[in-house]
Amino acid sequence: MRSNKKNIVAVFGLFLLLAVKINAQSADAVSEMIATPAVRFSQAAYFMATAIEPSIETEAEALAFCVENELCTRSAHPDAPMTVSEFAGMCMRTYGLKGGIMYAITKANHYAFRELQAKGFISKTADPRSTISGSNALIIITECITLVEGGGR
Amino acid sequence: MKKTVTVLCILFCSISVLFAFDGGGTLSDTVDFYSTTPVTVEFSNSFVFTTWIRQPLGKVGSLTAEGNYKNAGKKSTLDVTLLKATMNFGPVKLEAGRFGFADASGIIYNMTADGANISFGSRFLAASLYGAYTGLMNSNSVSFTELQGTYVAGTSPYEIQATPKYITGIARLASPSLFFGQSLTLDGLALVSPDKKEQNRYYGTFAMNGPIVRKLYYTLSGSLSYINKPGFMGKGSIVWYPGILSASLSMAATYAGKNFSTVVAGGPSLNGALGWKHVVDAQVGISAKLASVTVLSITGDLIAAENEIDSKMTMHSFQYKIASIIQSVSDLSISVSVGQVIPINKKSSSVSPYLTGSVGVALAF
Repeated sequence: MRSNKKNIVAVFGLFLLLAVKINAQSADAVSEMIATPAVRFSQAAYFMATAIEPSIETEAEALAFCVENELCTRSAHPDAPMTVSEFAGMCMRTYGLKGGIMYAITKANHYAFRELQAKGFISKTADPRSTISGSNALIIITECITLVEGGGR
Repeated sequence: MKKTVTVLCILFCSISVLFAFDGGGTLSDTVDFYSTTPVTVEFSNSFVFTTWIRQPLGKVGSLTAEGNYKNAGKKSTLDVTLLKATMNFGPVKLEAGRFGFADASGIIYNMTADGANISFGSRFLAASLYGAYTGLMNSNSVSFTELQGTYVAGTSPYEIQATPKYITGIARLASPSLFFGQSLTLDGLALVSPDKKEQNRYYGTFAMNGPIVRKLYYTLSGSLSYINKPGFMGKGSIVWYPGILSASLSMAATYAGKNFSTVVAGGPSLNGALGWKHVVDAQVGISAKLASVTVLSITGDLIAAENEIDSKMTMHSFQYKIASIIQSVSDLSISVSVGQVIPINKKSSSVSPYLTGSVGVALAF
């Protein structure tokens, strides 16, 4: 019971934080994301694309924008669930985060995942091949925005 | 036992075909130097390649493995340092395979062996039972304390020489947060030699730690041993975190009695001249994170030890160590350290001037 209350408070806090941070994105998209157990490519693409191009309105437009700008791969199926490492790679590319030496050389999602783990945005015990929940994805996005706004990369 | 390990390896590899592993590793190279006289300095280089793989088993557990190749001078070793299955059943956790484990003191037994650990954890009470066999480890990688000539370190560069055979058991009862954040641990450690009863070792340790006031913490432990004779070791430390530069200031003292001996090799002196036997070590230390990418730590030790002339405990040496880790990117770190042993008892032959240091670089992938 106490755990449920904590979750509700955490999600509500996250919602308020994102309403301020991601002002270009609709509250509906954030609400839907919070409730998502496994984030889809098109869903993630919407948050990434609107961070760069706020005029984008639909998930289809967002996915096309991400493919065109190489934020995600061309083969990404819109409704396929993303893995944590794929999501980490998308975040690194969208927010222009600098990685370590291995990421700089390969630009691989595997090293993007390691980089976000090193920054403390992803849990040390997380499985890179597991799907990512909407609330966890929003926490990572918020951390990336905070880092970029603070002048860090 | 060796057949069991082989079967486990084959099973592990077969499962790896069915699942996609997460993996990584590190490449590191370290140049060490040491000098016992002002004019001669000796250098040595060691290269280590470590790789690991991990396969989650749903939400209940995982399979992990780690191995390394080490080259130091003319000596090369290839070793499996971790091969473990972990399963969680609510508050009960089961670990089995090859993995590291330490007793409550952290000094007596702290090594990798083949065995299993079952633990139960709750907010107020934790209990665990650990059992392992030490005889399948590579003695080039694990160092036992010599006891009645039982241990011979591996000498041939490529030969894998097994460590001494002991059946190890650790029973532990702990209270992680009984009152005011205080943590209490009681554990019993037994190492039974299948060959010679006189080489059996028994230890009991009581340890406690927690906050004294805000930002000030302590640890305290006392260990009784029985290796044909009763022995004692006690240690305590106080650490203050001032809240700036991620800094910590610490003071620690360790006493090991005349009949005390640890299982794994180790001791207070930088040059390895002293073990945890009839020795007192008083240490002060400071650590701070500078310029967001550099961690600097400085320790100073005043050591008293048994002198070989009349077997009485006298002041032995003062030593310091300055170490720094520079990590400008997440996967590359550079470490630099320098230390010196300054003899106090110049009549003792067991202590001589000693200067040591190292420069290392490590890349994680």
